[in-house]
Amino acid sequence: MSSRTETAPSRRLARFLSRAARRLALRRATEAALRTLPWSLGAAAILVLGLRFASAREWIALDPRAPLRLAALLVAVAALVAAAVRGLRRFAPEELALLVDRGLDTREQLATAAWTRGSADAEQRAEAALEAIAGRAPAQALPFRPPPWRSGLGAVAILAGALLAPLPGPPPPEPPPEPDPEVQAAAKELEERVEELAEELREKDPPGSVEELLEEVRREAANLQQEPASKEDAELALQRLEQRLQQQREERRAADSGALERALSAMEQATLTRRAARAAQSGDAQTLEQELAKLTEAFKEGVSFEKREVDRLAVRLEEAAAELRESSHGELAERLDEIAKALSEGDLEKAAELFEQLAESGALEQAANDAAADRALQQTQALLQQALAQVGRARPDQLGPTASQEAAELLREAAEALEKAGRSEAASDFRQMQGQCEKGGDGLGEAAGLAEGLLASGQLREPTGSEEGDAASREAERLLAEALALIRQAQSGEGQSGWGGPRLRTGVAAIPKDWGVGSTNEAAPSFQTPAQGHQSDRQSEETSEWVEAYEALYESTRLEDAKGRSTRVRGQVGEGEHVAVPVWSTAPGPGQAQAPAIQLPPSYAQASEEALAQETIPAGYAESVRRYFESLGGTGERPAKGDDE
Amino acid sequence: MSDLQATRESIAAIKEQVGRVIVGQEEVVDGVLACLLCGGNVLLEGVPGIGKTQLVKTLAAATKLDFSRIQFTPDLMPADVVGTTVIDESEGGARSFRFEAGPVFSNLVLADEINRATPKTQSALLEAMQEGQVTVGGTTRPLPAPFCVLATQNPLEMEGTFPLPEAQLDRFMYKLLVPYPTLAELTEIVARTTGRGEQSADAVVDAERILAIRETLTEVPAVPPVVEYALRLVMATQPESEGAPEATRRHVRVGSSPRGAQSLLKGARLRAVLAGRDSVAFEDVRACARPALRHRLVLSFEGEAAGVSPDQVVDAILDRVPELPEKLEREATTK
Repeated sequence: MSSRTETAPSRRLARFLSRAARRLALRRATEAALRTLPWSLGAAAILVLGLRFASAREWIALDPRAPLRLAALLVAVAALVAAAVRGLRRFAPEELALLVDRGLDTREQLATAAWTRGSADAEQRAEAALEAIAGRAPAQALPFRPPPWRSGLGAVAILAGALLAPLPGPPPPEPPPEPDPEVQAAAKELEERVEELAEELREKDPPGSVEELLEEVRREAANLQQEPASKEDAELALQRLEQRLQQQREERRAADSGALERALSAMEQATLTRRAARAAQSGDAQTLEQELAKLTEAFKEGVSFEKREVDRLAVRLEEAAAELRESSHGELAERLDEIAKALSEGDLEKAAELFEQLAESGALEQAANDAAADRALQQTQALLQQALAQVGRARPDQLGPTASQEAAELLREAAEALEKAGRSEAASDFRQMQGQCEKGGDGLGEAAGLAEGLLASGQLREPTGSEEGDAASREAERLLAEALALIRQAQSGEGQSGWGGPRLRTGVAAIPKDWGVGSTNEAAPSFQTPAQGHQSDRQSEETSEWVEAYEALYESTRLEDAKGRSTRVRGQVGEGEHVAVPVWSTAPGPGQAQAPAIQLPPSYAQASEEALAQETIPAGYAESVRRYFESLGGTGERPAKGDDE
Repeated sequence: MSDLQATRESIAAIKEQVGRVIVGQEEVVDGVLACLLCGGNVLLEGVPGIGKTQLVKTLAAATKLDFSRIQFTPDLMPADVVGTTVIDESEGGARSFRFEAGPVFSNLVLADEINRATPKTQSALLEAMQEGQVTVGGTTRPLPAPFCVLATQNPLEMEGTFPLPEAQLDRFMYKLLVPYPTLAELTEIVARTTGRGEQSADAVVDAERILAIRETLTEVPAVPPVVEYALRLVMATQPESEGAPEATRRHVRVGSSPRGAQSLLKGARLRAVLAGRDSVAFEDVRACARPALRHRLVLSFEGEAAGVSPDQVVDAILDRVPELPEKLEREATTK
């Protein structure tokens, strides 16, 4: 019992010192944590500023509260680490006793007791020490000391400043692209024109795919107007559509339209069905119906047609039937074949009956509608090309072979056909023109002159005695007309842009067969070079009495009550030679004419649009030139030389 | 522990008896007692007539110790202090040498105005003060124990004086500055000394008791940090030492010897006992610093020219030297 009593003071003293040790550890940890505040808050301020700046500059994507969280985390981690390092420091009991002595002002009695542990009077000294600290706790000896509030508050202020500091915001977002006026203008015009085309086409029962395609073009044009689009975007959209159109055209041509085109071309070669064929080619179903009705009536009324004309008609119809036989227009082929047979047999009444049945069957009208659809696609494609040109993105490196090169290719193709058919003389001319085209420059003018002369002379239409030769001649004539147009285009391009008149790679519209035709009433073009003399009117030579009767009988219905007559007008087509063009003028009478003397066919306007689309006309003048050509349709005036430049 | 209590009581009794004669001067009385009880010597510096001699006489009376007084004058010879050998002739005519002990052979020796004697005479006390013995004529004679030299010097009359050499000064445990009494003290002094019934001290302890007290005091513990503090204080008086404050570096030429540390701890022990504690505290060391160190500092020319007193240097050292080791001092501060 006594032993327990003797050891009690030293144990109590040891417990007291143990509590003091914990207290000291807590105080050291707290003080260490608080001491980290100034620099950790300063570092946090730098961190916050850096993060906010980076976020404001959009270098990093950061939640708005993230800087504060990271700052708090930094401060907390720094405080915890410092507290752990300093709080874990151990002190010897003697050292603790000294600190307690200092804190409680016990004059080193605890220290003496701690240092004299194990001595004889250790318990007495411990007892004395405990008496000295009686009723007092380690917390009194080791009170928390005031933290460095000034620096801490300063750091807090810096952190608050970092959090609230106005920083330069991200660069303002780029304003939405302004609608490009050129794109909008091109898109608006495209939409209007395509809508008109679609409206016209709608009455002709076109294939659904064509209608859908036109609607898609119109919609895209509307989108380009509504949504601000750059020229690059507009160009891509238009090119995509133009490629689809080209693809559609090629598909249709591969399926039916090629055959139909060739069939109508064959029918056009016959005088009696020329107008009907042209009406079908242009998709003019009403005119087609009228022409068929007139032909039927003429046969029925026994108009004396020359046998040669009838035979030619039979041959052409047979050719047309042959073209159509493998196509989807099989019914039309059969009917044409039957008519050709009846004509060959001289059974005009049956032929009249068959013509009537053909008109009633609507097969030819369907063909006309298909042709109208093709034409609409062609015109839409031309419009797209025009729009592309207006957008101004067509570059030489995107362009295909030059017009002169294409013309040379066409001439080479025609020459080969003629050589194959044994028309070596004509083939020689074509080879010459081909060389001139390949040469370019002045050669183009020479080639154009030669081509015009060849076309005007009608040399290619002279019968060769063989069907193969005649077909080759017709094909050569057609190719020559296309080549001439390309040569003109190349001449214009060389004169204006200096890069030889390259053409857009896709969507090159075929040169219409009625190139140079003045109106719906005139005959085929007949160009006459001065060297060859005037009035080289092949048609007039071909026109027999029946033609006169035919014209006298039905002309009034075509020009309403106007009695017209054929005259010839000398003029100049583009930069070409002066030629005589047959036109129909109304009979002199009181008042103004009821109809324009010359109506440019749509293909002529289209040709002008294509010319405009070639970038050979300065952008600032393109619109004026286009309006000028449009105005020609109403006034009947033809563009004077230089107006289209 | 009981020895400590007895010691306290004895000391208290001595002080009481001294207090019956000496008015005030408690600090001086404590210092003198400390030197006596710790086996040291004391140098009292003060103007004449303020009770220095009376203090020593009273102390001798209270402790029942032999007391002798030596008035130091320039013509005082060493033999006058330590004694001399004389020829002694017996009745039968036989002659023999006989040592005639000087006044130093007392328990308490009052060396009055010690700085008036020549250095040679002053040096006669060196062996006695340090070793408690004297050697005369080749014979070493121990001095009575306890032995304590209480020297006085007048700070005013410096003409014709011989400053004590450093070796001599170092042998004084304390140098006490005896202040002039206050008006109240002076009134009391006058009242006591001019009246009919002059007070006298009674003997309350004897030599043996004093020696016992000396033994007891050596057992008062001083924890290592306290001892270390005393040593750091002494080291701080050396201008070349690492921890010397600026005051030491500038104004001290020579610092304290190790005797200064001994004096500090001895005095601190007694002070702790007098304060009723059984262990030495830092404050005991601090309290003893001035009397224990002031006479051990040799001021530099700059210090003397600046009029710096040794006490100022000691105070500067006390201010600059922390009591606790550095790592503990950081934890002990309240700010």
